[in-house]
Amino acid sequence: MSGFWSKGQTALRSFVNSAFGQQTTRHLVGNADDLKDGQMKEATFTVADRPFKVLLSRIQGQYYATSHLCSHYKARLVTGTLTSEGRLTCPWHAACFNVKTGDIEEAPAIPTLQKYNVIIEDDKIYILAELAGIMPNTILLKFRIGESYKGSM
Amino acid sequence: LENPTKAACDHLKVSDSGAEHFVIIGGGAAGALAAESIRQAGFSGKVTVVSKEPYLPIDRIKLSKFLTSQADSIRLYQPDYLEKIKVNYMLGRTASQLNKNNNEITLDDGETIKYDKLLIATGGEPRRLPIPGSNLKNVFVLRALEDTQGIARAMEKVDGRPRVVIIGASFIGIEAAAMLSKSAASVTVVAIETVPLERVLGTEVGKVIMRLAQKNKVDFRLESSTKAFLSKDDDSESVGKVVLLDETSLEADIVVMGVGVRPATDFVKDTLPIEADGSLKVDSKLKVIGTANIFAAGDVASYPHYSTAESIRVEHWDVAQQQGRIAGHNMVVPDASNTDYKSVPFFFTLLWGKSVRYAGYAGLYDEVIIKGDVEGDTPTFAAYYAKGGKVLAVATMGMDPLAVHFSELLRVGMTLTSEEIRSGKVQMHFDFNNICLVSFGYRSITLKTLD
Repeated sequence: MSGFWSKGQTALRSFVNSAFGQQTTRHLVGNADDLKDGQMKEATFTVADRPFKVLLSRIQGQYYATSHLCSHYKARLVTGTLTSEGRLTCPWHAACFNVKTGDIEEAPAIPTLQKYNVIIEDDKIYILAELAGIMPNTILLKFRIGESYKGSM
Repeated sequence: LENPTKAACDHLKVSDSGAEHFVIIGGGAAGALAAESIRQAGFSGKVTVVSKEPYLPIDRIKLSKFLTSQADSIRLYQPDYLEKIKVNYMLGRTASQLNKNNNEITLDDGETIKYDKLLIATGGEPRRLPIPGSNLKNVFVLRALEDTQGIARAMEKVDGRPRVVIIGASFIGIEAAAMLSKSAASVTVVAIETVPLERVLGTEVGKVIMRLAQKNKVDFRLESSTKAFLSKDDDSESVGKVVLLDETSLEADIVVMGVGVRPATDFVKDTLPIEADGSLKVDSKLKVIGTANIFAAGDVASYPHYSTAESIRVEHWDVAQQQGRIAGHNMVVPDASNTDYKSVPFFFTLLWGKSVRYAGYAGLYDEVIIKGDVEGDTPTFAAYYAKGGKVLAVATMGMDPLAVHFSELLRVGMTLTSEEIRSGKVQMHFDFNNICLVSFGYRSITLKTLD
């Protein structure tokens, strides 16, 4: 039964997508002067009543936005170490990401960070969240939620 | 709050219709990451992982920290993702022989597999002490899921609360002590060292760990070794006593041996040159020296140190994963685009709620400089390991992100001298607000002159 249901969901989603197209929503997450070069900051936005946090970083005048928690054991990356190349190293176990792309630079992280496109307009920072489809009461964002790990290490 | 992440190959349309076949022996951190990395680099042939373990790759480090570990609660990848990226896992299988000239691997049941490129990532085989009684029931090593689950079952079966004896005071031994100390009646660690973790962390940090363990009712029999395991009086199959070299003995319902691992390279000993420690020597691209198409990664690989190029072997989780990632990449891309493995080794452990981080590599050191509080109830310190006046590694407790910061320093080739650390004129800086700012000029990054 569950197999049927998930097939049904997929079909419904693709119908919704074809009817309305890919949805991209724009969210104000801060002011451009909140961040100096080399700084990071967490910001919150909401999609259909679901709160999301995002990590903003600024490198050589450019702004980037990614997931805010390490994909390994969920440490807050804002407390990590950022370099001028955009390497962000997690303070717990040295997992390292590229904030420009979300990609992994160093173990022990396995999934990459979600990267969001950033727009600067009138000195405000906006991020774009792409939606894969809209269902009643459900928004399916275009990424997988990593396995969660409870507790700190 | 939601924390979206995505798998590295999620966006790829993976094909395995190509004629080439890449084979990985070992389904641990190195093997698992290599398989994904091979796909990420665009390989469109077949990828097979032969894994001794009967389950898909797991987050092995949890096995010595959480007694309740289950294969599906600690896996590294979701099964549907591995299917999507077309990695074929042969589970519960081992390689028994390598035929290098035919590019062929023979498996345990005689089946042969042809490979175009091979990655050896078989990891370590936990040692068992070669003493009488080491095969008795309830004498465990701790490496695979079945070991943790065996210990968990034994802990439940024993009438009353079990008495645990741990042989070895290195990481597996001390993590096992921490994992079992809550539910055991007693935990006694028997080891040859004068303090736990002495070889890697030194005497002073070892003492911190020892006090932490003692506060959690762990006893130590140090500078001591084990002579034999005896069975119980009423059960000749199960361990009942641990006899030490001085003829004293300890009552035991469960014994855990954490006495190191040996690279699992027996199946290639007739075909590849093996180092004295049982490992395979690789170059900086992780290719086995003297071979054209064989790579090695993780616990089995002796590789060139990231700055001195001396041949070292490091049994860390992070190292195995990253080597797997790089070996997989190098198996796919042309030689000219190969990546060197030159990460700064990093490891972590969790003991009674306290995290220890370690960055760098100090195989030998002649000086340990402690900054911070090692005596108090909440030890908060950094221990710098130096040789010839040059700081090679740091171990920290309660000082995040200092270890990570130090690791970045080593990566960019900066050196701290023990004199700089000792004098207090220069300090590692770990206020995260400032770290980001100062990370931009490497020379000034982390060094804050006090006066």
